[in-house]
Amino acid sequence: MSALIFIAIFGIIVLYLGFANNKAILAPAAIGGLLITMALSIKDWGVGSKYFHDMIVVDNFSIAFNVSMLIITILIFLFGVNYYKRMEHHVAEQYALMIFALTGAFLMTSYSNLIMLFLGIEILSIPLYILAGGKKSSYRSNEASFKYFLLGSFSTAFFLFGIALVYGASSTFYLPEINTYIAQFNGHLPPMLMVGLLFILIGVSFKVAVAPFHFWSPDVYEGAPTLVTAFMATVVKTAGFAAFYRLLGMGLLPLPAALEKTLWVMTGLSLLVGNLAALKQSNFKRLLAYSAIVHTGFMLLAMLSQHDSAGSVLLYYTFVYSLATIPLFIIFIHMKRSAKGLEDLVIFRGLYKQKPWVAVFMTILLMSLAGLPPTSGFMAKYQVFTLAISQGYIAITIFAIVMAIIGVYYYFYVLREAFTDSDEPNPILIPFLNAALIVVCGIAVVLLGLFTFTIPI
Amino acid sequence: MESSSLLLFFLAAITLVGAAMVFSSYIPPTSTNAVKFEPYECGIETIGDTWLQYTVGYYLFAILFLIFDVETIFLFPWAVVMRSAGMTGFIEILIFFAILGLGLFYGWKKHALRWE
Amino acid sequence: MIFLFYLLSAIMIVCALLVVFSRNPINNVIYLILCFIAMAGHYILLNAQFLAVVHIIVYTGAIMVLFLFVIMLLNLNKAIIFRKSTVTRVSAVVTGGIFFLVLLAATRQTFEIHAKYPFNSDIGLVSGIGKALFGEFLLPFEISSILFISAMVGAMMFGKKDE
Repeated sequence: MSALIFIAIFGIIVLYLGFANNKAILAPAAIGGLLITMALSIKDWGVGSKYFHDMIVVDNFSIAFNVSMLIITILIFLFGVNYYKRMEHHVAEQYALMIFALTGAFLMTSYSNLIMLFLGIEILSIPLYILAGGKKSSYRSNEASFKYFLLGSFSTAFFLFGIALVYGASSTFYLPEINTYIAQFNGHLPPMLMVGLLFILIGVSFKVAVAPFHFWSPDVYEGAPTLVTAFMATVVKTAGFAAFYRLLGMGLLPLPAALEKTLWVMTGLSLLVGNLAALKQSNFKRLLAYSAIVHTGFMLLAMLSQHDSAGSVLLYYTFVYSLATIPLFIIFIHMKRSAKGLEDLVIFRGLYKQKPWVAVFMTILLMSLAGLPPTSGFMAKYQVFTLAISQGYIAITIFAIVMAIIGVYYYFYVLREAFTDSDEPNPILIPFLNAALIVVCGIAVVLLGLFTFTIPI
Repeated sequence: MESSSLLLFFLAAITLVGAAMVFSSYIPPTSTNAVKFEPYECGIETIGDTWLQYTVGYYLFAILFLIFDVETIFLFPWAVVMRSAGMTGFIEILIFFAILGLGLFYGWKKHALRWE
Repeated sequence: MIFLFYLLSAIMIVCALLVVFSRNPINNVIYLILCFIAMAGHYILLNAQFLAVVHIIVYTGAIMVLFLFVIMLLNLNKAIIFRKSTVTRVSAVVTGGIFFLVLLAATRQTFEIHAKYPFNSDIGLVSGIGKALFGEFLLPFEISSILFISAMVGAMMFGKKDE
């Protein structure tokens, strides 16, 4: 709880640090604040307590997810040190807005009341709408911001309507009470409650870009500034899945048959649509957007299993996925700069010739995303599959395995470009800090695969 | 208040206002011609559209107004329960106002309140 | 009471349809305001006076002014006609129709709700809201200030020219 209060106040402090007219202090200060937040979070480990009339439940699940998101955000801020060097205006605002978004993400991991979930999603989203339009002079950035805002508020309307319907049926906002209310129907839910739950599901699915509600994500990923895209692909996804799991685990288990079928279809669609679309992409950011949709399919599969350990598997999956994604965006931004703003896959040409070690690390990261051993991406997928099979979801798991194999194709397509010689090589400059980030994340991706962790949640 | 008296109130309001509008449109002498519909009856003829594009500056002020409008609305319930909420309630509303005040101060320092 | 309910609902539905079908953007806003006023009437019927007043002040007052500003910003001098392909139109109609059916089915089959809380005619008064806001819903109330401040920062980032 103290972590939540601290990070909310800290966002305002960072906002005011912008008046110091010294961009160099922003990133270290922001990272320091996040480290303090992390310490405050870990302090509550194993205690498990409720605050403010049970609005917030701080348990191991929420702490583990919060710490994972904090680590990822620190990595993104380290990336920001170089990324924002050329930016003249509103640098402090970028950091502050990301910290505000993180406040919302904290609420999403630890809510036990639907009102808190709504506020968490909004506090996460509104800074993101702003951040997506961070490049004011770029039409694509404006378009991304506007599209995200319009579709996001549309999905929020669905979500709120769903909450209203659920409240109308059960006259409570609290997840445990909703759970006991649902249990009395023995799987035959009244339609009002059913529609309400489906609408809530739609609202959350939109935020994590699950297949029928994914249309915004490639455009927004492409148009938003790369650092914000990295933030959206990692932290927002982690928070969204934590909220999703909490909703199902605390409020809806055992899943009513209709909801289970819905989730089943959404899993299959995410895997299929994401993969098919990713095969045809030539823009790297769009490719990663579609690959993110495929990954949401795998994460949904873990959730579909409704096993107690699904939370731990999800945490491992999201963390490992984020660790592999951020350095890829870092490599991408430097290749883009050396190619004078081009974003196509061809910009990776000649990478091996000029920076062999970067190409090697890129191989590891892409292998992790594709789910090949010995990386942690393989272990994450392996855990998901064993979990799903153990709970009897055989058909969808086999489908997911096939989709994972198809996915290898487009990741290796990127790699092939990296190992091809370029006709007119441009000099690639990677500053020390970013190089260190790539190396650390690459090594972590391999090590986490060798030493998988599970957390008692 | 009874709902019937509320209905009566609304009916009375609608009848009175409607009657005034009907009277004012029938009683005075009327004359219509094309020139009467010009924005300036006697003056230079207008060129182009009357639709002016506003600057985005208005929008900034409008949204600031909106935020503080909502803030004031939160003040009302507090004022009513002030005695029962006591000191804790006072501190709570103070925190809320302090955070929004910091937002306003930030805008002030950024010269967002200066009209250009 | 029932008569008032149907009157207000009729006004709301007609105005909402006019919002969609009217061509002039300013007229759309006016109809939306009418729609909101009818909704405030519904709040009063539900004994939520404070909510009704807030609805009038914030939505019909402030937010609709914002809407007008946006419309003036857009410079919609020439009527822009958005052409959509037949496939888009047909799929939109089908989707909307299915959505309507689902909602209809859900509301038709509603069951008797056993109210958890006893009827309290004071619940919609300002004091009732104040008690809830400074009691059970304290954290949402406080944390919403973070929402406001980020919206403020965003408005200043987008609304100000960079020097």
